[in-house]
Parts: sequence; C-alpha cells; structure tokens
Amino acid sequence: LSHSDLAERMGVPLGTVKSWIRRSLISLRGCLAS
Amino acid sequence: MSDLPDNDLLAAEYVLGTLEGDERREAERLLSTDPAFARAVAVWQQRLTPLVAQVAPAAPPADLWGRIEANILPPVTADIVPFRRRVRFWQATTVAALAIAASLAAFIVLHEPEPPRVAVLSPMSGGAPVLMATAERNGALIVKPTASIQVPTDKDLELWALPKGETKPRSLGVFPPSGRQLTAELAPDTQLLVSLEPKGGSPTGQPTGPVLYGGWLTTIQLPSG
Repeated sequence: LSHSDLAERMGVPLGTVKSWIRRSLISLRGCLAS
Repeated sequence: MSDLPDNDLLAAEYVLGTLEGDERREAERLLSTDPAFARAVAVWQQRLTPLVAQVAPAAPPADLWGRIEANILPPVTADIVPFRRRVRFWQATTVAALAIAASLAAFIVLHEPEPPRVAVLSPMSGGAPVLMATAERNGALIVKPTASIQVPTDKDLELWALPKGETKPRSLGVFPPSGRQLTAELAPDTQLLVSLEPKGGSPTGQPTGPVLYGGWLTTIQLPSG
C-alpha cells in the first residue's frame, strides 16, 4: 500500500499518514539500533 | 548525503513499499547510484523482515477475486470481449512478473548470505513482546527491550538458552533492562528464557527465580536464501 492508499483507506490526510509512518520508523530504528 | 537521517527514512519507506511518485523514483535512483543508500535499504530489510514474520497470515476475503476481476475487466460488449480479456490478463501477468523479477533482483543484490536469526520474547503469562534478541553471525547475541521493563534494584535479569529436547537451560549471562550484547553459540531450535535472579545472576547455575519471558529463536528465511 502506498502513502495515499493508506490515507484514503484510513480517512486521514496524506501528510498525517506520512508523519505517522516516519515517526514510527524513527522509534523502530531507535529500538532496534545495535 | 545518504547518511542524513532523511535518506535513511526514505530507505525505510522504500522497504515498506509506501513510496510513490517522485519519492519512489528518487529512492530507486539512489538505490542504483548511491552505495550508502543501498546499504541503508539492506539494513532496513533486515530490521523489517523479522517483524513481517511475526504477523499472522490472513486469508483474503472470499469475494476478493471477484472484485479484482470487476476492476480489471471493464464491462464491454460485442464479441471482442474474449480477446480483450486475454489481453488484459497478459498485461496484468506481465506487470506482476516484472514486479516479482525486480523484487528478486533487489533481494539477490542486497541480501546478506546468512539468514538472520531472531527471537521475540513475550511474558510467560501472555501479552505483548517485551524483548527482541538478534543472533549475529559472529556469535554476538543482541538483546534489546521493545517495551519498558521494571526490575527491582536488588535483582538482575538473566538470559538462558534451552535447546529443543533438553531440560537444563544454559546461562547466557545477566543483562540490564536497557539491553546488552551477549555472546552465545546457539543451536537452530533454541528457546530463550529470561528469569529474575539475585544481583549478579543465579548462584546455582540454574534459574532460581520466576521465569518472566520466553521465545523461540527463529531463522528468517529470505527468498534467495
């Protein structure tokens, strides 16, 4: 699914989806960093 | 350039497959021109692949194929229908085959020869995972918390390896709730367990406190491995 697929499916703005994913990835990276 | 955090996140989103348009083209261009970006993509594949393995497979809804057909086969009239259907079918098949070939090529180019081994440790009483252990090729075992762990100040967490079929676990050492890199040679089918022990670890060489967390070491099968 692309960013815009997700935005459409979840009914939220595209920018919101992008920032959710970025924030999640940053937190995942912090959590998995070795 | 590519050691900027932004490019690392671009690599992550590329692996996730959420990029589109200009961003996707930019990621593809960097992947073929920028070795640091290609490395970042490989690292994210290693990070994200184990997580995919934790997701339970879901069966597609029964009417999905019908809806796909409804989308790819436009309502047409007259006797050109069968021909047009065949064209659409082969068009779709070609696109799918190209996509699979491209993914495989990317994997073959990028993926490291040894499949990674990870264990996700969850509370024995059930609930969300709290620790992730990654076994590296060089014998390092990296233990990282995925949730906050509270340990009484006079206690330590101790990690144990219990190979399949054996009854006595082997101590791999104590670690703080923030995680640690330990060293261990582990057999493929090994269960990792965490017990609560007196400061410094179990005095007997076997777990003396409650076993809090556990999980099996899983070899992540990558497509080309």
